Amino acid sequence: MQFLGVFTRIYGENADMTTSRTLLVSFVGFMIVFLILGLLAIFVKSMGTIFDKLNEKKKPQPMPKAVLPAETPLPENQSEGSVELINVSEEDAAVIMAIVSHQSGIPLNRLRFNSIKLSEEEK
Amino acid sequence: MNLLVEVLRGVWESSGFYLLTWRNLVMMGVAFVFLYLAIAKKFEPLLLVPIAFGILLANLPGADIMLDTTGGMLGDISESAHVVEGAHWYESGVLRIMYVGVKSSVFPCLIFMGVGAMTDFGPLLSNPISLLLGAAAQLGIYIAFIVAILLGFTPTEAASIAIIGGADGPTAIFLASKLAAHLLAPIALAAYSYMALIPIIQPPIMKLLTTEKERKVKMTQLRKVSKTEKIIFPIVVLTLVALILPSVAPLLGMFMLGNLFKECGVVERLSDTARNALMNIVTIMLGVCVGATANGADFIQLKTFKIVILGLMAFSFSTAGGIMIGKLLYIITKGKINPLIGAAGVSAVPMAARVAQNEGAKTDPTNFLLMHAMGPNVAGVIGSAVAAGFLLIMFGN
Repeated sequence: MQFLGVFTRIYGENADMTTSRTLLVSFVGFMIVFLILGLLAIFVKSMGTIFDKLNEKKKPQPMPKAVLPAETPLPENQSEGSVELINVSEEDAAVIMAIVSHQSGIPLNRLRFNSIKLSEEEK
Repeated sequence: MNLLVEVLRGVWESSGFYLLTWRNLVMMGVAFVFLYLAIAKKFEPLLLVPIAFGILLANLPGADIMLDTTGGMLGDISESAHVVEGAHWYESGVLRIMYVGVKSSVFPCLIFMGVGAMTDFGPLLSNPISLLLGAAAQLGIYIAFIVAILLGFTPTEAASIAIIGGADGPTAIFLASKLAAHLLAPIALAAYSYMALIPIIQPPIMKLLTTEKERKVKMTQLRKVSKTEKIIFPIVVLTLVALILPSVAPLLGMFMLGNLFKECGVVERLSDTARNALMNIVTIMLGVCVGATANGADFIQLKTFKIVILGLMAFSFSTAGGIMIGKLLYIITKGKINPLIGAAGVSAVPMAARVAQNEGAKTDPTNFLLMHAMGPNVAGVIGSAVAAGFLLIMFGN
């Protein structure tokens, strides 16, 4: 069966293209373009929302803060305890502890250092 | 002595100079102008060089490069078409045989596959409102259709001429070859010529319809689109659109196949072939064949002049349509959308987007609209394919 254009099927094979029919065809054609692209816009928007939510869930959670001892924290200007220094001078140990405190963002008096040891390769 | 005179007369009478008509000369002049524009001015040279050369070849009298020995089976629908007794189809002119690729829509579809393999839907996916701008920029198609009917063209001719407003060469050739093959040459030439002239046609319309304040709008950064979204999009678009308008499936199907090659990431060789080697081969054959249909005897008519004017009108109204919806969105979003990007909805990727960028930068050099304009630009490709599908369903047989 030969496919006939919609216009021919509606108005017949030798139908005239009157001004009103021309305007109607143009209006319907323009609206169909809007309708289809509008549907695609809704689909794209929905897909974007879904993927954004999925990506949010997948994002790595912020690192939990270091678990600190439950004891009452010391005042900022006080510290306690002792550190075992193995082949490290007191000055070097002070610098290392200050760096660790600075990098971790934890006040020095809330960090616990058991020992600071010069590694074998550095000897 | 008589023999010599007869031989010389025979040589003269079979030469191109003897057979040359003023129409051929005019078309050869057109070919030279196109070659000049392509080579010296670099106006769409990839298309204009083969098209111009095709025009030149078709207007060399006696060369019979577009001869159809079958009397029309290879697409010669001119009044002079006739069956050459005892000749096989493969004895037709070389460009006539190649022309089968145009007539059958194979070339436009393959070109669309290459375009798909080069298209990035990212800007469109990150800003779906672009699709509405792409739809609005099809306004010129329907305005040109109305005017073409009023000028006395038949509905199939009017539909084929109107699609020039889609600013999409392959779509124009696809529709014209199906609805009004006798107008293919002027339609294809008008479509490609106006696409090349977009930097001249669009800016005055953009300035006329927008205020300086609107042109200065800086749009916010686009959201990041995932690879999965880019893979899903071509499949869903094709399925949805082809289910509504099956007639557009060949064109849009090849476009989305090319895009899937690009985005899926597992067929890099196919993607590379589609956007480079195959695209180049088909561009040469399509360009030369389209140019070769512009034979002076059939081309130089009042109809051609009307088509050229209608094409320009379609382009202008499409640009205006995109800008007007852009202005509406500017109001609705309280100044977040720059109306200039609406003009990029007329397909012509990426030329129209570049024009939007340039016009924005002229008003404010720190304004970068290119990526925002690419959304409506690729939406326009889908929009013009949908418009072509609708016209084909209305008037096809």
